[in-house]
Amino acid sequence: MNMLQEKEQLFDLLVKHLRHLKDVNDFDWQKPLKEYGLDSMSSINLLFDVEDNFGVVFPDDRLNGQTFASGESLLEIIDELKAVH
Amino acid sequence: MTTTTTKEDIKAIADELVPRLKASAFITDQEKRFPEENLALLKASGLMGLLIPCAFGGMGGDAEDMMYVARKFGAACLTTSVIWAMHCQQIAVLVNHTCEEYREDILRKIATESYYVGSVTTEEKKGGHLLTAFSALQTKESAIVLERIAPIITGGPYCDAYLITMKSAGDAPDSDVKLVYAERHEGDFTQLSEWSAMGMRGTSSVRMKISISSDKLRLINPRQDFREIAVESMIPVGHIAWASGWLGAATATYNQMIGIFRNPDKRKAFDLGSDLLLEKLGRIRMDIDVVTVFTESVVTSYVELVSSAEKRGELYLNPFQLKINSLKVMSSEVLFNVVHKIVDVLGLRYGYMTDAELPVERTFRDLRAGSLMYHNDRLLIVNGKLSLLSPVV
Repeated sequence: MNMLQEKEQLFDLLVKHLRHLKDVNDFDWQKPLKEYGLDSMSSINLLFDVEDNFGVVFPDDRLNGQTFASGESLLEIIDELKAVH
Repeated sequence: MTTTTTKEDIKAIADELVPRLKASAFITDQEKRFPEENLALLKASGLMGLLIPCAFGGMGGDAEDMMYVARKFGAACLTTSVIWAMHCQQIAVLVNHTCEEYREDILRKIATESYYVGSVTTEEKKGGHLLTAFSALQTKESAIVLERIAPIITGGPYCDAYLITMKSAGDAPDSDVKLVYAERHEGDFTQLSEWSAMGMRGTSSVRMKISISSDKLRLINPRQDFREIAVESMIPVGHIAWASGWLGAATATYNQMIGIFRNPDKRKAFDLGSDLLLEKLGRIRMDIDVVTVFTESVVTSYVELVSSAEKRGELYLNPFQLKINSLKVMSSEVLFNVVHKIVDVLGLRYGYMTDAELPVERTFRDLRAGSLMYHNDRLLIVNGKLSLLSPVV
């Protein structure tokens, strides 16, 4: 999977969990995910979706607000975990 | 020169031991055998002398350190944790109550030779009732004779020394309890039974016959009332050490369950979106947090009271008595129920099968013993009576 496909796959997962994202064309990868409605409860479901779809496991020290700060930060960590894996 | 051991040192030593103790937990349970290799590790670590003052070669630790270590051990091997807990209870008694004549010699020897000291308090006639004794010390010519059966001595065949409750003399009241410190070579300690139980299978809690005749029998409290020993040391340290081990075991089981849910392959067997499952998880976590906070609170109170000459008297007052009994009752009941719920959540595959890596069923069986070890009913009756005199303020 190349970078673009990976980004598209993450985008497909994100839109399922971002209840305040009205128009998918407006999605900004730098914008805080919480502004799109991601809270601590919905981030757990997003986490499991990401792990299941990307074949990675987030270590406990990555289960923090920084990981889910933005689409970009989440993508970076997925890349990092895939590289380690 | 006195070597000091810091709280951080103690934690590091305990942490380092955890995987090694864990390695033999499965076989200890399966073969119902005393974990001799774990006892050897504890002896080599110096932790048998955790509560002994540094001046006598121990680590100078307190109940807070003991709680930490017992939790760690409980997470690795609950049998080892309870064996060590019982030992710590004896050491606390010896540190706090041994008469000056014997105190330094006994404590220095236990610390330097890493003795394992067993508890001999049960008798057939009284069961586990702590504040009485029926077997009496006798005098024959110049010797004092100690003869008695002990229905249960945890780790009895493996102890290097014993702390034995005895009535002071045949015509003395049952409440005139003396504690005798005796090393194994000083008498005959004969094993009369095997230990085959549902859980805590490695503790070798066997029936023994004890015979000692000596003109040098060491009574650690020739003048002190045994009740003071029970209230200031034996009961609180015993309850704290047990509860801490149980908490460690239940917490480890909880973490193992979370590990399954965090594993993408294993969690496929569960519906983590289910409100029913999430409600159960919420309750399990709440119960562990409640026991953790209560245990830490009682330990803080105990350390504060026992280490202060002005405040020590509060150990005898109803508020502390109620709390220390509640700690034992509550932790044994709640933590068993925690693991019971975890079995329910994990189901047959992960919660019920005998599994060295995921010992949920072993912990379930081990924790079932908690309410029976100095039976909760007895403590609740005491607390019921104390409650009548103690409105909540």
